[in-house]
Amino acid sequence: MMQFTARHTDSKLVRRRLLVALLVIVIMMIILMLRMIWLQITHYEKYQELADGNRIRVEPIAPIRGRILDRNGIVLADNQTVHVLELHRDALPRPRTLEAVKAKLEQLSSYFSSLDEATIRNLSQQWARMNRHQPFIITRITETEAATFAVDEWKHPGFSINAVAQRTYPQGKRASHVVGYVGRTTIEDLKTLDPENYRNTDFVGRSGVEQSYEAELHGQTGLRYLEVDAKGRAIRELERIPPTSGKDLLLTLDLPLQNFAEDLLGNRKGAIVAIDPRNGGILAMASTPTFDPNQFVVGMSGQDYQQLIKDPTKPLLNRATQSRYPPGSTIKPFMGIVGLEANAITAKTRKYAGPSFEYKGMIYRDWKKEGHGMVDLDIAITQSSDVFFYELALDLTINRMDTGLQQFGFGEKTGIDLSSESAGLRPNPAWKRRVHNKPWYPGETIIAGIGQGYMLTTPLQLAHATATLAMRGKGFKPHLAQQAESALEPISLKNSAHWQTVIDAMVNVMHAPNGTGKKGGALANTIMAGKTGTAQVVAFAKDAKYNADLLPEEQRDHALFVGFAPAKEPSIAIAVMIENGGSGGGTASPLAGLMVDFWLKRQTQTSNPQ
Amino acid sequence: MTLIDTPQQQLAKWRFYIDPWLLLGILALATLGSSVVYSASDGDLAFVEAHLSKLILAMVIMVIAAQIPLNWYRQFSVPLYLVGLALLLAVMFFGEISKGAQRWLDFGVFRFQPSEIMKLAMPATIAWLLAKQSLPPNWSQLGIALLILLIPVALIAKQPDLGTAILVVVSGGAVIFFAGLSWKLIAAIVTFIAVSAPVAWNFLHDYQQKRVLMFLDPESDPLGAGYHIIQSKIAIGSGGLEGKGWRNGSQTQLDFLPESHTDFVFSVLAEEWGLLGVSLLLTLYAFVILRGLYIAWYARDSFGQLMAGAITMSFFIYVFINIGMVSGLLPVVGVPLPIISYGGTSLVTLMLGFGILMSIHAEHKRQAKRHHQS
Repeated sequence: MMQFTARHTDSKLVRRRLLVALLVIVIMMIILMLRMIWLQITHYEKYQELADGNRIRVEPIAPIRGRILDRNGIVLADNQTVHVLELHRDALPRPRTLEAVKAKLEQLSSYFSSLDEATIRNLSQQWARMNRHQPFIITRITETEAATFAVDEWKHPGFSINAVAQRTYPQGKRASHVVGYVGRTTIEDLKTLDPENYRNTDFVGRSGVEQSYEAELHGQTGLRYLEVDAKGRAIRELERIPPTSGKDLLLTLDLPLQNFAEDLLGNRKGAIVAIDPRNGGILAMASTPTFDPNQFVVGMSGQDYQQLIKDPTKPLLNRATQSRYPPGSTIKPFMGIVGLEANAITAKTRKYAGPSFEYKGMIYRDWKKEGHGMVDLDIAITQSSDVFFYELALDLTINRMDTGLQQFGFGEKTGIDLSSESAGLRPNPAWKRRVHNKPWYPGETIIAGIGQGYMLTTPLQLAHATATLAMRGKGFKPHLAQQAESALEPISLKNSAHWQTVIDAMVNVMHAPNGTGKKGGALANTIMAGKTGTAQVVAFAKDAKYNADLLPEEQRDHALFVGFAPAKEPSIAIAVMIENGGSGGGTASPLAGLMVDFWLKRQTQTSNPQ
Repeated sequence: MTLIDTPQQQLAKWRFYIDPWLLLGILALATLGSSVVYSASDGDLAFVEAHLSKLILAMVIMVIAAQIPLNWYRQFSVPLYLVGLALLLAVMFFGEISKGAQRWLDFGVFRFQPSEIMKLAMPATIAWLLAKQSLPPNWSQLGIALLILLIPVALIAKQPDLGTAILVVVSGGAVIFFAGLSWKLIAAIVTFIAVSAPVAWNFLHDYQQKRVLMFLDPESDPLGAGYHIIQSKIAIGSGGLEGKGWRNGSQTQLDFLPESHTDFVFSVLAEEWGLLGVSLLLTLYAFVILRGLYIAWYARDSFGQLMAGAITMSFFIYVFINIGMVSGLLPVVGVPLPIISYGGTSLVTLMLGFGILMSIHAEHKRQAKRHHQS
């Protein structure tokens, strides 16, 4: 009973409050009603006039995309004016349905050759998210088609021709992996991009620097205030906030050197990366086969696209940054530095390098059947002795190799200003346990000493490590845009004389009579330093004889080379990789020699214009 | 006679119940809303279909919610509150950012705004707490209630979602008000807010500050930030007494009005249906609100009374904020017009609230019937 009384007073209290709330609601409702009367009755005429005179519509204006230029100012990506067929939904006759538009487009296909099924399908997909009051670009048309249609345009309300800026790549297939391409903006893109700034942007960067510098290249969308008639059609422009064009992007790339590199590779699959070691700027980054970025902008048929992505030679792949290869003997100079620093060897340490190395009953063969005899580090690098480095690797242990090679950036992304760079692979026992759940075997340490086994690098990583070596540890982040230069934490050795020891050996590789890279050295017209590499793709039985001519192409060795020039004052560091190209000395080193020669001549040309 | 029934008794007494008056009001509003959305979308039937399917789904939820005994809501309020709190924290760490605010949780199949849970779970928790003892609440209860209120509000405001934060404050604050918060304290709180407003200003995001400034003087930036509100006022004012006619509003049809099917849907109605349409709308709202207050008046216990009062009051505040915003009385805070605006998670929450109202009234009906029998 007691509880019941308490409940009763509670209820009375809440009911009193409910009455207060009702009073508040009534007052606020009256406020709203008064506001409506004030707007709709008292000031009706004022707003009526404003609405009648309200013929100003705000439309976004897409900015002009910044150009991409090489270091000499040669244009790699530009904008050109092209004719397009546009759809204006709010000017269509009713019913304004997708089906009606499709039927109309069927009729119009007699005017325009590019108005095919794929184009109509694309329009159907975009239909739902189209802005009814903004023109939609249906397809690109030729000048003749534009002229023909212009005569009949009045018969087709809702369709008109217009001239717009379109991305174009004047160099075609040249440097296409570096420059990249743009593609149509999709709904997915607008989730990550600022939708306000991309309201009227039809294309965004999809790969290369077009993608990584999208923010700078795009610019800021402008606005224009249009006077429209009672049906919403624009009569004239009243005012405009002009768009801010995207910034031109100046690359470190040297187009002549890039072209030279691509021509050197020819129709082989491979990559050449050239870096200016003094600042990390990429001078050339060739990856073959290549592709024409223009077809992505113009739009290609689904069939063409399928063909491009299914091509077994993978032309869209940037082999310089995305493909991983065993470094082979090109790892040896870095192994030398690591060995010297760890006191596993000195410059004078001599080892017997016979035809093979035996460890726990396993035979590890040298590439040279008869072996090299007694060798020190210099000879071991010059002649590329495998046995010397098998033994060194075993003395070093995998963990000391691992930390030593990490300093040069192996197994880690270089941080170049391109997306989807591969990190390569720097194996160690912890990695093997994690990924394969197996212990590390000493035999794996031995073959790691000559860059075989699990270890994988990208040509860019090799070029970057070589540039750092050329600069005696003063590394720079590899970059394509001039604005992106940045120095890395330098590698400091306990004894800086070790740099010279290894560099001297690399000079001998190129210029000594028995150096493996002497073919390249002879072409360089300067003193250069380098190291050849031949990476096995498949393992062979102990007694099998390797005969490249008898092997299917995809099983032949990869030819590799790293080097820099001039040896004393380096201005270019190079990595060459040719898939299934044979030997590093025979195939890869001459290309590097020619690159060096070409670059040094160009430099004298540019410093003495006469 | 016992006041609390056993579950068996509850089950035996269970009857299907829908409050016909509330349903009538909601259906009338939904019909009016759909025709406005149809006009605002330039006669796009697909749009109206999507709107209707969302409305129907939300009303199914309402009908189900009406059948659940009130006691269950009482018992589940605290766990639901804690789940909501956990999800709000999850949003802070894993939430999806859209338009500069982190409000959504993505569950793959659907996206979900945890702050919606708080609109009901938080007032229910406070009502549960305060109804445990006799009213008005003592100091310690008030302290706990304030904590229950402010923690989620702070998390929501931080997302930042000022609109929802205000609505959540209103729903929780209404419970405390109905529970008999003393007038002296109310005066003190109002004074405190007035004094601390300049401090709070500095915590607002740039775009929020911009909205408030623009509200104070929309003409200062007629083609930028003030554009929305000016166009909205023109739309309302030019509607006059009778309106320009359905699908004939130039502001709406020529796209001068921004977000015409969501936040600014009221302006479409005012432009095309005039003051008469506005009066019809406000009358329908008043009808629903009066029914809500009636249910609160006759609710069987304090928990029901407080919840019914808070749900009704929140509903009214949504209406007031939205209309106040589009007519230039209040800053633009992004609150949809209940039942009329196109879709959204908030519609489900709203209808769930009406379901709870019906459940509260079902309780009353059963009791009245028993009184009648005895």
